[in-house]
Amino acid sequence: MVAPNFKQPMKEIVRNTMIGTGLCLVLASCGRDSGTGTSVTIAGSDTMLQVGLAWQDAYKSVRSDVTLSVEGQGSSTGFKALINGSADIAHSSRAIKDSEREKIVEAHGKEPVEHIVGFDGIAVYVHPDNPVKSLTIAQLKEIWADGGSISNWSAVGGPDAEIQRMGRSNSSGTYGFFQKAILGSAEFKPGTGAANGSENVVNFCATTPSGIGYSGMSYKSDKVGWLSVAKDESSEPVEPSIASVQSKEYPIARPLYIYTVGELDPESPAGEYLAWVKAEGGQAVVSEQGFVPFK
Amino acid sequence: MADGKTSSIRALGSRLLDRAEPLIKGVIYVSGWSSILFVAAIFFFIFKEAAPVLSSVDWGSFFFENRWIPNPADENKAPSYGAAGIIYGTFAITVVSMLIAMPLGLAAAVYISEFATGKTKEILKILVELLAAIPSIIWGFIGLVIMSPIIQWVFGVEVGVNLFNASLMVAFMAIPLIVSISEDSLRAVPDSYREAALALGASRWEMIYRVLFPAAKNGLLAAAMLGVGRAVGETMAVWMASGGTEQFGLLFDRVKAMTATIASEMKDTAHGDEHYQMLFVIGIVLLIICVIINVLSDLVIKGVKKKHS
Repeated sequence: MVAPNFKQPMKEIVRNTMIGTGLCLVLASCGRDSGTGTSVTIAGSDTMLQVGLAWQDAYKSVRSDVTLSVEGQGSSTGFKALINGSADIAHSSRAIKDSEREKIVEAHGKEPVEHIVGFDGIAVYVHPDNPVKSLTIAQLKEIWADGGSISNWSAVGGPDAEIQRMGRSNSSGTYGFFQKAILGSAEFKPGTGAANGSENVVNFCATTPSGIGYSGMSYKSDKVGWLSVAKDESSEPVEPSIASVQSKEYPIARPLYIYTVGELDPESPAGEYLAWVKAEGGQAVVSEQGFVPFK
Repeated sequence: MADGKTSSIRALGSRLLDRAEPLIKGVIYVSGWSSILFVAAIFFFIFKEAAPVLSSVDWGSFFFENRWIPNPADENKAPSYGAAGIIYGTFAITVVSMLIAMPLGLAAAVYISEFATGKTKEILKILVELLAAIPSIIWGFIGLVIMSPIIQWVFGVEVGVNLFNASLMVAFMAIPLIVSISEDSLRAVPDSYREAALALGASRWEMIYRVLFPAAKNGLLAAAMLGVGRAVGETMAVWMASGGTEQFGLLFDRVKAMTATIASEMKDTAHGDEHYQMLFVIGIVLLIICVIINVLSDLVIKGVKKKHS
């Protein structure tokens, strides 16, 4: 006779998992100490995270006594951190919104100051075997925009395959910038994917023969192809490159911003760091990371 | 002398324990009630975050329109919160993953409980538990990096991250749960049932199919429902393997789940704006689904206990 035996623990595990999930939602936001002394806290754009980490690395050899803490969870989080005072410097891949500016003035009594520290070209990635090598802005709009007429690669000289579009989550800075630059005030076509980060957009294009996606130029690798983009039918298609972004020939490029609350004291650790970023050392890092120096 | 000292220390210790008993009782009592407190707190906070928007949600659009545009490009247009696509995604992933996980999990449970003996049985049980311990982000990686090209190659499809891939990963995560609960409920069937069936000339398959399954029916149902709960709530693996696209996709099309929507959009929304609150509304819908599933499976398990005692 086997006694009826129900493993309570398994049920409890399930229940605890659900409780845990809920707790994570509840604890989603938590604050941090503001940077004091010789530490500088930086938050913001995930596009700028890799250049931020490279700056952090390079700055160690310049000022080993200054600790930089760099986070990159999205441009909005950088402004949030400036407003609540948990960061000294915000990275952003878009210009500050009026609502954010007002909140900063309200919280600190100082206007936010904008510094352009480089440029980022948004590349349109495709599978490396895709025979289509260039598109015009108008064609891109027909592919990506709600109501656009192009949904098959054959319409732009490619194979007969449905175009698989992969983008970013609707609150990412890259999403907003690509939308503004290519779609104007239109929405993305239904059925456009949202990948978990720029890296995964590029990975999707590298593994999907009929894929297309947008991400920063710095994510280019041998495994993925990208398109030259022409402003209109009469102009030459331009391949994304440092030179073409700097000369503003490549049409899908944006500035990389650093925001501070008021002008920083040039003697303070954060002020010294910002000056270094805008000078030769920091700008060398910008180009090493596949971005474009601001001058 | 030494003896006297020990006994007096002992007496002091027991006196201290006597004093501390109410305190210890209190601590245990509070820990017991804390889980109830947590559940209540979760409901409270999730509803609190969503509360300002709850009265103005267009539920018709939320449940039946696939148009999730929280930040319209044209700032003069009102945001649209049609979640039908992501509700479909969660539903489709759950159904397909259960179609994969239920037969596999049940078959494994039958094998472990009725056929495997000695070391094989022990090793299998340990392996199943090990499978349950793999974090979901690892399953996501497996889906994205390993399964995706395999699916493209085997099925000749364009996109490797799709409904099937996500469902497969969720199925692998649900299988250990289904196996261990099904196995428990099969073991709970008295041996006299088996002996009677075999004595009447039933083959082993007939014994399992005609006698064990009906006798363990409630436990098997409970296993299935907890598997469904796992599938509905899974986030990370689903996010990475499903392709993240809100559309009514078929088996090899990309889809997006409710959980993945919350995870991907929460980090970039401003605390307290409408988009943020709408993500909590999705959270409420998910929470209600999970509670219903949990309560149902609880009732079913209770049914099983009554029957055998």
